[in-house]
Amino acid sequence: MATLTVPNPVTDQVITALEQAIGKEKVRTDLGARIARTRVPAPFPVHRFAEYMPDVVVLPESAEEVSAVLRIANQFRVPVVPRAGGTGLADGAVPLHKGILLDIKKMNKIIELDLVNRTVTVQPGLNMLKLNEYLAPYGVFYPDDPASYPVSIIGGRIGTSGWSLIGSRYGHTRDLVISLQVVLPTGEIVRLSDGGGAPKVRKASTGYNLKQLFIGTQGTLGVVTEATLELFPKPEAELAAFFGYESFADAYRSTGALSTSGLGTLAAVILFDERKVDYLRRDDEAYIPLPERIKAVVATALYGVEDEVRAAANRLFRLAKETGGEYLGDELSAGDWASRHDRYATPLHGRLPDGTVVPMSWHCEDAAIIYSELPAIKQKWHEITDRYIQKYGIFDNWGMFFYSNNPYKGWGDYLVEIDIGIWEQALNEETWQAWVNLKREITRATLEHQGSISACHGACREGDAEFIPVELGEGGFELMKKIKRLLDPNNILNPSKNYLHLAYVDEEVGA
Amino acid sequence: MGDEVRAAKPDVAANGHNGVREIEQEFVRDHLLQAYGCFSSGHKFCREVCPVYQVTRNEQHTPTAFHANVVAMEKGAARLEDVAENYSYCTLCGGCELRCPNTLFVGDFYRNRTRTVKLVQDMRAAATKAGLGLWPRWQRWVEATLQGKNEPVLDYENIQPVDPNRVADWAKDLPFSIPQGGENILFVDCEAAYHRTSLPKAVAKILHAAGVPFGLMYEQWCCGGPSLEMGYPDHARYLAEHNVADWKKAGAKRVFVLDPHDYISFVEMYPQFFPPEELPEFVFMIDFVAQLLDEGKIRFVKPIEKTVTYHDPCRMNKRLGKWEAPRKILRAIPGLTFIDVDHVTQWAYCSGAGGGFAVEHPDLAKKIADLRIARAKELNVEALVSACPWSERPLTSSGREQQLEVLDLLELVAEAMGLND
Amino acid sequence: MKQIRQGVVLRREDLHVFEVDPTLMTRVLQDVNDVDQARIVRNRWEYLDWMHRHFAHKTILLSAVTDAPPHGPEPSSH
Repeated sequence: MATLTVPNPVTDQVITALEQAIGKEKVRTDLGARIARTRVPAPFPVHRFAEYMPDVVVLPESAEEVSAVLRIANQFRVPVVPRAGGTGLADGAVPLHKGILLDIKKMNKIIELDLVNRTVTVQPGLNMLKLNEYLAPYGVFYPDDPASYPVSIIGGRIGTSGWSLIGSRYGHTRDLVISLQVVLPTGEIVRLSDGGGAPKVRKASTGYNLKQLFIGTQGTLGVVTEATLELFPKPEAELAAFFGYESFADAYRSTGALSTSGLGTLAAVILFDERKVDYLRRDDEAYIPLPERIKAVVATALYGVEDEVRAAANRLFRLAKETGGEYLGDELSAGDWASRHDRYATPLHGRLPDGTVVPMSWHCEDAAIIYSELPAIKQKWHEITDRYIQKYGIFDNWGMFFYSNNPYKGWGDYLVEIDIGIWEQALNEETWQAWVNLKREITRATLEHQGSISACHGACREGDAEFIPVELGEGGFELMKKIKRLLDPNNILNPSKNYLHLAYVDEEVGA
Repeated sequence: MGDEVRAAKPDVAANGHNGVREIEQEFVRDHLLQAYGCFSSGHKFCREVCPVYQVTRNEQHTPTAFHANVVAMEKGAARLEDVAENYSYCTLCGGCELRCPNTLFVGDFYRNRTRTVKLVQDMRAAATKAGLGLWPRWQRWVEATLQGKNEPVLDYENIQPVDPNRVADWAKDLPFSIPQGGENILFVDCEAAYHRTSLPKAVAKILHAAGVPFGLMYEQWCCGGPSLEMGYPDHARYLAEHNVADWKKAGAKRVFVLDPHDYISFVEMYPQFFPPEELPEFVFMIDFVAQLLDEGKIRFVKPIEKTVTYHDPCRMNKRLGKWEAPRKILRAIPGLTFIDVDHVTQWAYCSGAGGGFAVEHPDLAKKIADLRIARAKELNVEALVSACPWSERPLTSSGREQQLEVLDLLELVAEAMGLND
Repeated sequence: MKQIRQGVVLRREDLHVFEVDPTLMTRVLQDVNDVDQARIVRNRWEYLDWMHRHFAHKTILLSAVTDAPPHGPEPSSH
């Protein structure tokens, strides 16, 4: 059974089979093709660059071609790593065992716009900004808005179960996908929706809710080749309001009050801690002039029809004021909100301990943590991070955000983000291992506070993945392993992600 | 400087294995820090504005890949010759480096920004210097340019040199004569001088009607920009030196430029070769027409009953931030219904003609032009107006297939001024 | 050149654009000239306006619909 855990290499025979199946021009072995698909934005052990280069890149254009590739992979027992936009922050698309890299970007067609039933059916390689440019003349909008909105693509959003900046109003990716076409690891093409088989029905109880099983698999259970998506009216009005506070404790309480306000147009509540405000004062024109007494910030955004937004704005302002908030002005509020995709991580924001500027890579922790635990987790994560900065000198603490995480409502749990800069140019094996240990300590703290390791990026990386069995518990992880083995008997699809190599180790032990 | 300068012949043996390694090391050294600025970011916001990526959907034809390759070379995971070919997949439009958060959001703060155009040009030069022989059509193009002193625009297929003595033939049947030399020089781009001759004629008529005295160069050569873009910086400089000497001889203080590609060569490349006191002032014709209109020195007398949209030339909009003057002119033309697509949306638009892309990759360039025309068609307009003669050839060709007229803005100005009657 | 706060200076009063303290830029080249710098600032504002329009038909400012002050707190004096 050893073939299950030690993948076979990609031989000339495999390449020939792929070329015959989908055409020579869609199969690429040149270094340029492979280098371009080695990393994602998450911190990368650049000193081991070559280890992560796939052997061959395939660029299918249909579900049938994806199916053909997966069948070949099963025949030869070689790994396949699906890659969408490659903008994920948790290594879902990084090849751990080389093999075939399956890039879906060529599949970017809009298949059907149904304005009567308010759906759009697309291929997974389409970017949301481009989709919304297409939809704009029809007055409809697809509101999936991650920080990577201008570039990430729908297949990756589904593969990671993405989180949207305006999800507390419109829902997140999993809430916006009505049905899916998926190619299973063994090559079968299936259509899955919410508890039934009708592609445009949003709520059904006919069968198992299989659609959700295939959202957030990080490409370990199947490859999405088509999706039917929810359409909203394009918002009449947007209003962003940012408030400053004299302490984190005030801002935290205000966050609780605003997020439980019951305002239906409230799309986001985002809490910035003291370290984040300090970080923004380093190079962000909006924050540089803020007086020192502002220690923490709460950002809010409203979307909807104009009358509702105007009325909600009054309630929002009153609530913020009553809880110690000071309005930070129209220019900062509107400008910073419109900057939300671009602003929070640029490499030159990195500072060495002596204050000098170096380009740093961005680690974005994304645990999901309930409201009551936020102050405690903040303290722990900063303590861990600062300890490593002091010891190694190539990391930088960029502060924390707490984003409302609950779809269609602002309360309950938060996507908790600590942003850490890593000077990649200076990485070696010792400092890389230090980084992974830092990650592990952060993850342990998350679990100690009843949190989930990842709200949206996935838990594919070293430092996350080994804790999945801990978070899910014995029964839960056992079930995950059974499902993985059932659907992917030869362990060809994104092997070792989510610690699922254990699914096959057990079998070997049992055998 | 004489005619003996020729495009370097690919000669791997002469450069040898060590030569390539030295060129690679120099290239990596020059670009490594900037490469990490991209590689360590990974935002990839450049990607969906990139005209080439939009038609290939291949991640290796993206600015992030161009930067990742530099890091891979540094780490010994690739050699120059393994990745150089990818750098031909670029129109040098500059949309990527503007859209990059490192430029758009913090470029002003750190006074350091993404420079993908330079990265691509330098890689093309490095590959050419290393004698890799990757781009035979560019080599022929540059050789033909040196022979004809102007780009071989009359024969894209076989790339045959033009006759340098015919560079001002476009002016022959004008109702007035244009002197040689003088303080104001009209520089007529290669494509306009030999192919789209209606454009320089229109510009000459506009200047004449506005009472602006101007002359032509004694011997106009290619600006040199395309040679730089195709990997031959020494040849670019050779051409530039001739032009600067010709302007000096003419006593030129101001050069009117009717083509965005020439204009960016003059304002970006020439200052790298010559001190500022040796260079005249460069005036982009569209800006000048807008100024003449403001000053009441020209008037639109003839209504043009058409519904049009406008194509922002990449170099003006994305690389130099000039987009207002053409819109102002279009809004001033009587009878014209102008349906604008804002210039930010157009960061993602391109004709495919720039950076030598259409010479080396004609099929993909055509796809880019087809896409641009299709976008204009969605607006239900009768014509697409451009302000760049290089864009107008592919756009006209795609426009013919999709039944959309393509017009030149300066020609439209001459028409509205009643100068064609 | 005016020190605005630690690590931040104001070199160009005309454009009112903050810059990193150049003494921190020992490892990174500063080669954006003044014309290019102004172009970047302008393009950024144009882009932000574009992003507002992309997400909603209308951008409403809090000061326009409540008694919130349009300007934020006065900058701290350094």
